[in-house]
Amino acid sequence: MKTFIISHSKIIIKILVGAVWLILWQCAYNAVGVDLLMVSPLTVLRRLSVLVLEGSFWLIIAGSMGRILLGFFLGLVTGVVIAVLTSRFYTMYEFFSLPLNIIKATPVASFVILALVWIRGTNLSVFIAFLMVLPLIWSNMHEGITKVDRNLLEMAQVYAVKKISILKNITIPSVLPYFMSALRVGLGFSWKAGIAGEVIAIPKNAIGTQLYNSKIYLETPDLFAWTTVIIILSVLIEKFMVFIIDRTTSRINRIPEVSK
Amino acid sequence: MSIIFKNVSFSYGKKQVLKNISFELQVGERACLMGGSGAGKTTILRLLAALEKPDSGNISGIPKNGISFVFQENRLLPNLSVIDNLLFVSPDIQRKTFEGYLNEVGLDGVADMLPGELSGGMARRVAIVRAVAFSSELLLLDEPFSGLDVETRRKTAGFILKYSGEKTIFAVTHDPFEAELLKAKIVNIENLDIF
Repeated sequence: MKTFIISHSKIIIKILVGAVWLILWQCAYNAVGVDLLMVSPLTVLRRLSVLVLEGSFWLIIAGSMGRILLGFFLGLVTGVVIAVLTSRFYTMYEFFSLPLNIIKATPVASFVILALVWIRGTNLSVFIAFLMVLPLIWSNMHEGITKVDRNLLEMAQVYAVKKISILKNITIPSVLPYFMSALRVGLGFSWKAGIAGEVIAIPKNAIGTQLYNSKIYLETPDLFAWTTVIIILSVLIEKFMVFIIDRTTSRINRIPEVSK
Repeated sequence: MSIIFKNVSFSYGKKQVLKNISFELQVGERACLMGGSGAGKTTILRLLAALEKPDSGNISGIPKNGISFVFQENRLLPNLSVIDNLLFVSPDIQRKTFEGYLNEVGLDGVADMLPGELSGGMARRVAIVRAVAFSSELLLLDEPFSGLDVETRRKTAGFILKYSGEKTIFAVTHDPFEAELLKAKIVNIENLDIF
């Protein structure tokens, strides 16, 4: 009962905070008073309700999501593989840490412009999302793997515990928080970097292209509406991924491999 | 076949911990190694468990059919319940058998608790149950009764003796009373070649 009341009061606070920010937005709109520079929340909502009814809206979303998520997953898999190698072999760490740290420190725009020379516009956001997420996943996973409790690994070694059981009961639970953190940050980061890439590369069926067109044709309501779409999708994708991971990890912990 | 340490030397970096240590441990023998802090007692256990390699000398006769080790720290998996910690190293033993062992060391009703919910002494006994239950020929104990009161020490030592069967027991302790409880002969690390 107490938990129910607390969770309900949290929801109420969240709604109130949201309402306050919407009011502040409306006040800012009233203060600016020029539709070209700032639109009201209601205008954005109206524009969004028109956009969602257009078939191309969903095609654009699917196009952007497909490309960026592809880049993200490629970065995720590559980052994990490199982290396993760098945490195991010092030479590998030295070999990969230099370029990955350089990538980490380089601004997205530099990569986008450089990559445009080599890659077609359509695939640019895949590459940019991949490149932005790779060092992030690698550094988090490398840290997670190297921080697995050596005492527990030693204990498992003495008792000749099977490798699969060590992985499931020691390594994964230890690395999981680092992986989750990388996933959350990486998703948002690759999403934003991917859209930025689209704004410069202007591929077909892309949210970034819509943002670019809004700017060119001074369609401020469209600019705000597409930005809202980006934010909503970013939150939804993150929540979905966290949900999937939570489900998977709780299932891993429920596998009765060691329980009889 | 007995376990033989012959002229074993070992260093951690530049710090020499063991110098030309020699001893022999008969199969089924029980021995308690005593000596001051930093004398290298734990290192000898780690060498026996093949967790370290000697810089020079030979170690032979280490049983191939498993070693049990009660480390100085309890080394329980924090995300697994007590019973799952025990099953983690001995998956072929039945849950009921483990519950019986836990009862014998005064740990009734803790099977489904997490290590973080146990006191230091309780966690110590879980680590001891894990080592004794594991099918092995050599049982290594590093300060096994630390954090236990006298009565619990007696009970736990009784459990070790009851279920260790033919295991060779090699313990490290500061307290001669613990050697007495384990019915083990006392050996000072300074006189290791008298084995």
